[in-house]
Parts: sequence; C-alpha cells; structure tokens
Amino acid sequence: MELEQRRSDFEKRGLRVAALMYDPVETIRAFAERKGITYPLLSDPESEVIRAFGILNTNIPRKSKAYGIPFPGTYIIDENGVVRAKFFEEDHRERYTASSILVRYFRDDAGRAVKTVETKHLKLTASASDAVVHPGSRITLVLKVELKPKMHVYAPGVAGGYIPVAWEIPQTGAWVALAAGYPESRTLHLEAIDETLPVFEGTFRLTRDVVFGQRTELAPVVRDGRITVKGSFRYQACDDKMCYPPQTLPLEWSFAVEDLEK
Amino acid sequence: MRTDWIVFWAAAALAAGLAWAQSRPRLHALPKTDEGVKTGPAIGEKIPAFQAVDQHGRRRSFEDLRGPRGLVLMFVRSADW
Repeated sequence: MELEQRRSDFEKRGLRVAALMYDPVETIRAFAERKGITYPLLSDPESEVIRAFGILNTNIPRKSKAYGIPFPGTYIIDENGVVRAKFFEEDHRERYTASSILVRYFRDDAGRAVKTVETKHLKLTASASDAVVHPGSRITLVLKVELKPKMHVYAPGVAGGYIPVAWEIPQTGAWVALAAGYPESRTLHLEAIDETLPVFEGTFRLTRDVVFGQRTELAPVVRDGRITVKGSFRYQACDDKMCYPPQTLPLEWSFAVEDLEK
Repeated sequence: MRTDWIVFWAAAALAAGLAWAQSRPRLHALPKTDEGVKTGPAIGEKIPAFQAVDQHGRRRSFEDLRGPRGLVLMFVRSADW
C-alpha cells in the first residue's frame, strides 16, 4: 500500500502513521500480511472510535453488512492531539494519495514525473506527487517557475491588457483537474508609466490537484499501462525595460496506472 | 416572525451546503451512500481519546501510536472489500 511506501517521509518529520477500520482483528491481520503493511492497523468492530470521531456513515442502513463504516479520510494530528489538517473526499472511490498529502501539507517536492522547460525568461519544472496512480487517486501536480534576473510575470486578475500567467489543463472524461493554487503576488509600481501591477518575481510554485476517474473512465486513455495528462503554461514576461511576446509552453505529466483490472 | 428567520437561515444553509457539494467538477454523480459526508473534528480541535486493538492483538491509544510531532491517522472503509 502506498502509505507503507511513504511512511519514512512522514517519520523523518516526526509523524508516525496508523490506519483504522471496522473489521475484526483476524481480517486486519490477514490484510496486513497480504499487503505487507507494517504500520499499526486498528480494529474498530463496534465502530466506537468511528462514532467518537463523528464520522460514522449514517447513509448505510443498519441491517447492511456495511453498517459501521466511516466516511473515509485522513487526519494529521499534532503531539497534543490537535487536528492540524484533514483530507476527506466526498466520493469514497476517490482518495488523496499519501504523496499528495506530503506535497500539499509539507511542501515536499519529492518530485516524480519531472520535466523541465527553459526559455530566455524562465525555467519551468513540472512534477507530480505520484508516479503511479489508481482509479480514483487524487494527486498533486507542481509547477516550479524560476524567473531569470530582472524578469517578472503577471498574476491572475491583472488589468490593463497585460497577459497573466495561466496554467491550463483541459478537462477530459478520464480526470478532473481542480483549480490551481497561486501564491501571493507582489505589487510592482512602474514609475515610467505610473502603473501598479500584481506580479510574480524570482521563484514561485503553483500546485493543483487532479482526481482520476474510475476504471471505465480511465480505460479509453491508457496506453501500455500509462496515462498522460497534458496542459500548458501561458505567460508574458517583462523586465525593467520592455515586455516580451507572450509564450505558451506545452506541459505533460506521465503516470503508470495500476488496478485497472477488477 | 422568529420561525420565518429560522426557515430563511435553514434554507440559506442548505443552499450553501448544496453549492459546496456541487462546487467541484465531477466526472460522475456522487454515490448515494456518500451524501452528507461528515469529516469529524475541525482543524484546531482536539481528537477524542480512543483505544483499539492492532493487527498484533495489542491495545493501542493515541499516546503510544504517535511520533514526537504527532500522528497521521487514516480511516478506511474496510480491509475486506
């Protein structure tokens, strides 16, 4: 399981990991052996802990075998028992990967599926939290932009005919690309033309999540066990003297896909 | 008069809740069993005390599960299916 593979990345930050489910201990023991899980798996057969946390799935009828399951999700809890972050998906078939949590919460750019593009204005490094995805995986894509000296680009929302940065990922039937997160921009005052504009300078980092579809949605776009997410990055760079023509750089992230057979 | 306000705020809360649920694009409809997802303690809130038996038959609690900076606790639907 993916959490097993990434547990050292949490442990080096002083966090240990555990998972809880409503199955009896025998089932959990067999599951741990089958999947090679060494971190603690906790058995909650009466759903006492699930209820104490307030996440019992009350849509399931009492007489169903599934009654007692939680709404699935992950908490990051500090040493005092206080929740610092939580990652819950509404659709139980969708799941944040442990790697995605590491990228989003710890800004760990372990960086898989890395591709670099360089122009005379900037260097762009595209990476992803995961190299391997499953149906329903929610992963994080990262774009690191390193502007060359004296260069700036415009933040979304800039007025006056300037072209803001735009990270496009066309939606397809195989995944949903969620909105990109941009950092705080800096306000630049251009004396010569008396304009005040929101810009990015130096190095900045954008992230956005992609949620992959279910098996039937992925199958049409998988080639040789791999899936490629394509997008583009548009920008207009200016330095202290002039503005350069806008550029659109093609981007792609390539993943191995597992669990396609039922 | 008071009930009018209660109805108004209940309707507004429901609309906001529905808007949140539909605000992110989806490829497929939300399964009925996933409606009204509850996510438990809020950020900044303390988790409840708990105990549970692990795969080795040992009784565990938060204090012996956590590392020096805390614990990543994942609630999974089932090990079996």
